[in-house]
Amino acid sequence: MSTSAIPQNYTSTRADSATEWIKSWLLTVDHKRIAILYLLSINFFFLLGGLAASLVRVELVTPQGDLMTADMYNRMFTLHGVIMVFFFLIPAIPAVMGNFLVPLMIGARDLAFPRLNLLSWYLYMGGGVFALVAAITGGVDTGWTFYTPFSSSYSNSNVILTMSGAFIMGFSSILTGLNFIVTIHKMRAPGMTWFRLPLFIWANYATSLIQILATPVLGIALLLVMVERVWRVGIFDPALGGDPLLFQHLFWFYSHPAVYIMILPAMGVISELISAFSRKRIFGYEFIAFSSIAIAVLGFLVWGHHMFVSSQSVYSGLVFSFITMLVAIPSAIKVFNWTATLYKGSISYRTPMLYALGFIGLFIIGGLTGIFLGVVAVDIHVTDTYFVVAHFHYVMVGGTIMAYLGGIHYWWPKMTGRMYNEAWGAISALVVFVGFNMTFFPQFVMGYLGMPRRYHVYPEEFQIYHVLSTAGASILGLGFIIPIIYLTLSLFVGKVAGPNPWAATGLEWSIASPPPTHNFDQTPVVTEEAYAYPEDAAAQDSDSWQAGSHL
Amino acid sequence: MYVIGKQWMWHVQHANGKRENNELHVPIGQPVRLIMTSQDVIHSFYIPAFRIKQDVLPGRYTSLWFEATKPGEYHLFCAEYCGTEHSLMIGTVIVMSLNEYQAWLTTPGDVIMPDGSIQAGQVLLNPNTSGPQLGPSLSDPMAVAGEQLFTSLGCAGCHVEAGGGTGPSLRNVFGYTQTLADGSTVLADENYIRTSILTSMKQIVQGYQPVMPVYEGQISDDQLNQLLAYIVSISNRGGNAPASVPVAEPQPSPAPTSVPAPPSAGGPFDADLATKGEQLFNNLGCVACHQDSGLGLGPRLRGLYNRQVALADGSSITADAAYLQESILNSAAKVVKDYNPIMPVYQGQLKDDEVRQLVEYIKSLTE
Ligand code: HEM
Ligand SMILES: [Cu+2]
Repeated sequence: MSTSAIPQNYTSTRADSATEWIKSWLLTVDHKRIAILYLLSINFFFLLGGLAASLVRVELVTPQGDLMTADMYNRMFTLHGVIMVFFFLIPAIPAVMGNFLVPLMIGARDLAFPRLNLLSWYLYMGGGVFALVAAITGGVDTGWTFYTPFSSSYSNSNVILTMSGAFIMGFSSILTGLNFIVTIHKMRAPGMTWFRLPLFIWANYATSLIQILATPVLGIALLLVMVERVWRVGIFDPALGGDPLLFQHLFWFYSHPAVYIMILPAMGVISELISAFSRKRIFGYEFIAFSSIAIAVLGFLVWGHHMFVSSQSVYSGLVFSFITMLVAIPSAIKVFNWTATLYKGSISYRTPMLYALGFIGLFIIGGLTGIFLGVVAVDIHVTDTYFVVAHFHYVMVGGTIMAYLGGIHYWWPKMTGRMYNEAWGAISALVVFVGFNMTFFPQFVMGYLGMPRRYHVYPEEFQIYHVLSTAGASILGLGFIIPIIYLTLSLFVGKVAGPNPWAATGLEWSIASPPPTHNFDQTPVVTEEAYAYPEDAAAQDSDSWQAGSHL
Repeated sequence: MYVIGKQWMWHVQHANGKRENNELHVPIGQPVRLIMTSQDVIHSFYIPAFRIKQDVLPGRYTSLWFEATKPGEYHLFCAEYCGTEHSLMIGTVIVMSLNEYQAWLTTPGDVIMPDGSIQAGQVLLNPNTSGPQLGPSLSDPMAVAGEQLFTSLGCAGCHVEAGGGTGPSLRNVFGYTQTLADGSTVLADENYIRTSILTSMKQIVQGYQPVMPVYEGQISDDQLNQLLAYIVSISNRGGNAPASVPVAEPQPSPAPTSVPAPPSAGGPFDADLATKGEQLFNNLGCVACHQDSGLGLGPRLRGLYNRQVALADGSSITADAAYLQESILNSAAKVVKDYNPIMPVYQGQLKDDEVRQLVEYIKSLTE
């Protein structure tokens, strides 16, 4: 348990002074170090977004606006949305785990463009600084959706600063996508064929495609709003000769695919976790791999489901509704395959697995309510109510954040070389699960009863649901804080993990933890499919089981 | 009914000109259609209890219809985030029986005056009717205001109703398919009318030149709604004709305009002249206001000849040939009780012959 047990690795430096040391991190081109930079900065933004959410939830305990003014409230939920979507959910899994794992999983020395990778982080931070300055110097009150002509002509808040933040961060996203695509195409180890790639790689590949193809559209849309705001060129504001719906089309053309930027890498993580903790080859590998691609493609064709009541024609409504239903198919394929993987697996309920199982349940609820929303007739009633809020929190928190936490726990030993406290891990996974459901399930109910979203004050009949939701949010908040504590502690007192604490397959587990700077001593040669667990793993494990055994 | 959303309030204008804020009174069991637009940002008109929602956009009309089935009060919300007081842009939908609604329509409050302005006042139902008035018809003050605008803005100069003007006649345009200069066709719905008024060159009607001025920025949403109401009213596809509305129990009707006909009412007339007069009556558009149903803006003329007529100044007069002639040429001289002096002056417009034909026609109208 002494530090000496941890070998030289990517975190150790030969720096003699503090400045040297700082430089060695801030100017690093090592994908693993950049992943750590992302981990720290992304978690910072997550906490900030969480703080804004807490204030929103506390305000909503009473029907009156007593904690803050309407303007303040609007700034809070906008801050929450902007930070969580652009600075947490979109980059979280690709930039932290993707950066760390893509080269390791495919047997590469680094990403294809290490300097570009560092630039991505600086762009992310630059965008973040813009967003923070905007928040501190008065905030922004447009909602994360920036609908025109409110954002372009009417809002008196820091729209331009915030949009610049999102715009700049968009480039970070594009460059990361580019880097991944080239890396996955060009830098796979010998023998690492496409169908031997871990599913996490397939998921990140699909995500990268979306990042490259969709993000520029968001950039353009935001730029146009800024142009209209500054120079009063009529683009979106009908008073200037523009079309207000044009913005929604451009925005959702990016932002629907963007929800898949958030969920696909999460699904990749879940595939890894389910397989590792069932000790079984994943069921239907090709289906899971191709369903990622299918989601990425279909995701570009459904943006109109955010606009059913916008005055879009009935016919386009029908078509968008139909294609939205299609998206559910690849999503469901994944869920079925994960479930089938569990069947006759040697399941161990370690913390990452708890998150993975939580993910499956919550994602099913989120996905199915997505189908409700895809039905025009139902959506007309519940769009822009808390029902939608509940839906997307089920997929984004219940999905992406559960997978993020599960992944962090799973690869924590690899990143840091140390084990976290398993008991606390399990407790906080349960706290998150309970708190999450308590927070967001009541929102389905009140949304269905007609409670509109983004309301600072509301009719009294909805209070009971808001109180429940806020109570749940406090539990959820606790569930996020506990891991910060025990994970940090584990850096100092955690058990030394060794190369492969989970007895998992995958190239990343074949090297030391933490990995050395150069990753692999020798370029690995891959001879096996992914997830090559022994056929009889379950039987072996049960034969050799004894109280307190590792898995 | 017309709905205008603005930060952070809902305005509703009823067909009779009555206006309300953050409330929507509707009769039960009647299909209600809302023509909506916004003066600033995007709002969304949401009545959870009715399961309906529609975004309300600046620069165009969107519409929504429903039929309320249960009297009561329901939430009305703005569902599209629209700025600071988004959560206060809420109101109440009040569903009432047809009769209560009728009575409510005449309660004092904000009213759209025929000149388009909004004033505190009271709209009286047309006293000649016993049935309820719903939907746009010529008795619709929104349409009247629109018609006045149509004249005062000079639209009427080109859009001659009888045809032959520089612009197309607007009679029976709304609700019909129009053929455009490029050969394509378009259904003349609310948005078509709106764009054509604001920026007509976007869609030029076949056979006409793109000479119409741009009214974008020149007229308000209120005025636009009034012009629309007028154009809808002169199409036989516009709204529900009053006749199609189920008749409710009789109204406690205000004082009748015409004194019951004395036995001497009616009289001989020249059938020949009367037939010509009838044609004139239709061609000149008299019929639009002087509807036989009594719902028009002008009094019903059937059975008028030789009857006692109560005037606005409180006096009364026998409707003899001289009175009829004077009323045609210069109606403002003697205004019938409960009507507004809005009839055009025909002095100098009509030949003596024509006046005589009209008078004979009116004489011929017996109960
Ligand atoms: C089976 C899969 C899914 C379907 C069928 C689906 C369907 C829908 C529909 C129809 C809406 C529009 C609701 C409205 O605005 O009225 C919607 C909203 C939304 N969905 Fe999904 N969805 C699915 C999965 C996801 C996933 C995986 C995410 C993100 C990780 C997501 C995030 C969102 C967000 C953020 C919104 C609302 C955005 C806003 O208005 O602020 N959805 N979804
Ligand atoms: Cu979507």
